[in-house]
Amino acid sequence: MTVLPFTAARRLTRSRTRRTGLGVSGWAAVVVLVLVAAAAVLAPLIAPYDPNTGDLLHPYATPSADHWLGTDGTGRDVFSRLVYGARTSLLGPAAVVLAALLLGVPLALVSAWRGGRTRIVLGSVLDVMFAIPGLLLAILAVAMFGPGLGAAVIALAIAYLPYVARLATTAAEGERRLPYVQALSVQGHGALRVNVRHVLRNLSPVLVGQASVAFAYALIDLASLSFLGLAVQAPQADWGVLASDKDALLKGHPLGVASASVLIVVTVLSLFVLGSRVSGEDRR
Amino acid sequence: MIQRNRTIAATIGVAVLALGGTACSGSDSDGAAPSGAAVSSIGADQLTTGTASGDLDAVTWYGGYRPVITLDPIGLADYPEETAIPNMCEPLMKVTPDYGLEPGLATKGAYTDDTHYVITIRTDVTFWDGKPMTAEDVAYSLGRNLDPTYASNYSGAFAQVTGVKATGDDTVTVTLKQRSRSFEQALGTLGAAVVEKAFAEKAGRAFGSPSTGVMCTGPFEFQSYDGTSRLVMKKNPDYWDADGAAHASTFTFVYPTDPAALANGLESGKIDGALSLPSTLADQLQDSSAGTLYVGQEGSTPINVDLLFTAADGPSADPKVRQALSTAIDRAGIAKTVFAGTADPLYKVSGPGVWGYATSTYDDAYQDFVADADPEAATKLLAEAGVADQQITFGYPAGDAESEQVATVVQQEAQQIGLDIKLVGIPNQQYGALFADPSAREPYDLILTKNYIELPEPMNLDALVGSDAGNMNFSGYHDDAVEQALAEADRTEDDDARAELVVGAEAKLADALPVIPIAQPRALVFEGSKVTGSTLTFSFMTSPWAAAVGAK
Repeated sequence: MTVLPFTAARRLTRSRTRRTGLGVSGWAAVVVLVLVAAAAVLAPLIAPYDPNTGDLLHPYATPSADHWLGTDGTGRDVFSRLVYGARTSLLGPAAVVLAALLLGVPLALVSAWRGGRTRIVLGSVLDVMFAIPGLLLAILAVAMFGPGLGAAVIALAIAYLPYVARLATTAAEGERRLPYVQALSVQGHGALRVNVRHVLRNLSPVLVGQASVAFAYALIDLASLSFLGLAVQAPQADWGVLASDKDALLKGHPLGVASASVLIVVTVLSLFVLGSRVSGEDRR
Repeated sequence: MIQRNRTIAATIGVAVLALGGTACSGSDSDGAAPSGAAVSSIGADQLTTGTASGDLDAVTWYGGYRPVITLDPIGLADYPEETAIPNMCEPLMKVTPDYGLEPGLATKGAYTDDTHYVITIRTDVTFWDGKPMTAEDVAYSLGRNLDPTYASNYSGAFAQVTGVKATGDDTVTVTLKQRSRSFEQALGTLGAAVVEKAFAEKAGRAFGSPSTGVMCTGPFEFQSYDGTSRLVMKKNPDYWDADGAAHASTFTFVYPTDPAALANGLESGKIDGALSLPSTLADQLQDSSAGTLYVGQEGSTPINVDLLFTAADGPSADPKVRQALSTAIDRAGIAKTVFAGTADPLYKVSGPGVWGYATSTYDDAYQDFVADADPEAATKLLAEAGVADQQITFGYPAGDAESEQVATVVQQEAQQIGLDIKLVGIPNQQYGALFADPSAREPYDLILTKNYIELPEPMNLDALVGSDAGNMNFSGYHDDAVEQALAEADRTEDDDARAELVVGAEAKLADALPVIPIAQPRALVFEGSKVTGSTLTFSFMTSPWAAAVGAK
């Protein structure tokens, strides 16, 4: 329910990242994520019904050949809503992670390259940002800009920024001290070229691992916000919204809630596994 | 003549004033089963769950969808406040479970001429601190409604009042611009609750706060309130009316915000009862062994689930668009599916729940508007309006299953006739601002509310949404004929004559549709197996109902 430090991703030496492949669990995670992504992309082809149109006369229909997972409280097909829900459930976290990386990595590179006062100032700013809980920031953003996925994504991106930046700074500082960086500088290459073409490239395994883990946290956080009615808006399908259907639970129809919850857990688990494998966290 | 009811949150909406002197409860319908699963378990004449046979040490009750914000009787008129406060601070006139007004703290009230109303009060009543209730206290309490400092939620009912003065040891004289039925009826609401003048003046702005509380005369004394979850009242041992004394030594209101937590509390016996239950719990509590679920008949509450227009311009301001949307909505389907049969479709602003008199006049007029959804006719109406490609923004309280489902269904049905509605879920914490701050309504063309009046009087509900002074007239609707008819109705003593005036105004409101009525919820009360005495009508919003709750 809240943003946690991303301890899973660690800086690795280049030699370690090249040592082994993803392993069975890693490939299993890839398969799951590819299936989910395919469902999101091909939703109109896969879903048998319009996810937002229901039959008011048949609420909470039990699973059948017509409705594989039954219908919800307003007669909408649950399976179709799950398939379409993959879109927002993946798009939102992706936007959060991308924004956090785009903001955090440049800060990290500048901080590591310049060192000294720049590092102290940027480090202090990040320390202050660490003190603000991500969900609180998101709730404040929604209060100011109105509910919707946009405000929640921007707020979470800001909340995730210090985690991404701090980890990337540490990794970049390690690279900065390596002889190849000094050699490039001696050869007269500019700071921008050295950082973008060499340091950043060597940081990429750490960043990819970090991004996978952050994606999983963002999915959970956005699901929590949707649960509170602050992110994804009705009638849009979303796993977080589907998992929070209290009315269905109270009326004894838990299948839709359970299905959405399982999808969230499986997707998040796959991301964790993939992130861990890519970054080498669990590599033996 | 209408009083405003800031609503905060969740499912709820707004409300307003009240009354109906000799109104009878609900309608005289035959109690046919609703279209959904839940069926009425309350007889046409059943007003309470029973009579207590003995006292209890402690009773715990569901206090409403959110904690009480202020204990000041005139501070806020909404479900949680009106559920709790009348048990501590009584109105001058007593409201019986069948909505009758009887002598209470006031023994009588009458006009001496067209502009003076004299109230005679009891002289044997004391406040909880032992000080006697005086005419000064009564004049002060009524006068607070006229002082903008207190921002009374009942000020609308006192619109014709120009002054209140103690004119004797037991008399208070109210000066009015003209006779006003709304004012007379308001004597039975919290707008006429009597507070101790010395206590209130000393407390200043802290009056009614959780730490300071209030000083009144009711059967329960304020004991403590943590401001968020527990409001505790204790029995007033010196209550002036022995027949109305409390059965419970302490009576505690709790405020679980999650319906599942409320259901668990009721089923485990930790919460002894609940009034105004969310309809989402009807199925679960229907067969509970922990107590009894009482479902009222059609018209058993004066509550309207409404789509309220908030914009004075744009596509939603076009009466044809409103008519098209209204025609497209499957009210019966919503009542059956969303409310699990604990509500009835509502086709007009004043439905069976507010016909306190002249029932046949109101019913005849109502039947003209009863119609199934007609998407084809709605599509034609929309085409005539020529607003294709324009979007209407519809705000509803997020996190409330009932509201979200209503909004979703309305959006779907609008979409089917080609009307583009964008749904925006508004967090509970912000929903109340819609009713207090025009800028908060700015982004929306339409919002979902529950409008109610405390006592059955169609005139008051119509004025709420259709008069210049209406607290819920957010889209700036104005019609001279409606304005005049409602003003004349407020002056009219004769029920039949007043009903004719009101029906005339309602016909015009039904054309312009400043509000689209959707459904009228039925009373939904749960009472644990160890207690009895709950009020089954909406009169609990203005009376010390908790005093009657005791051992079975």
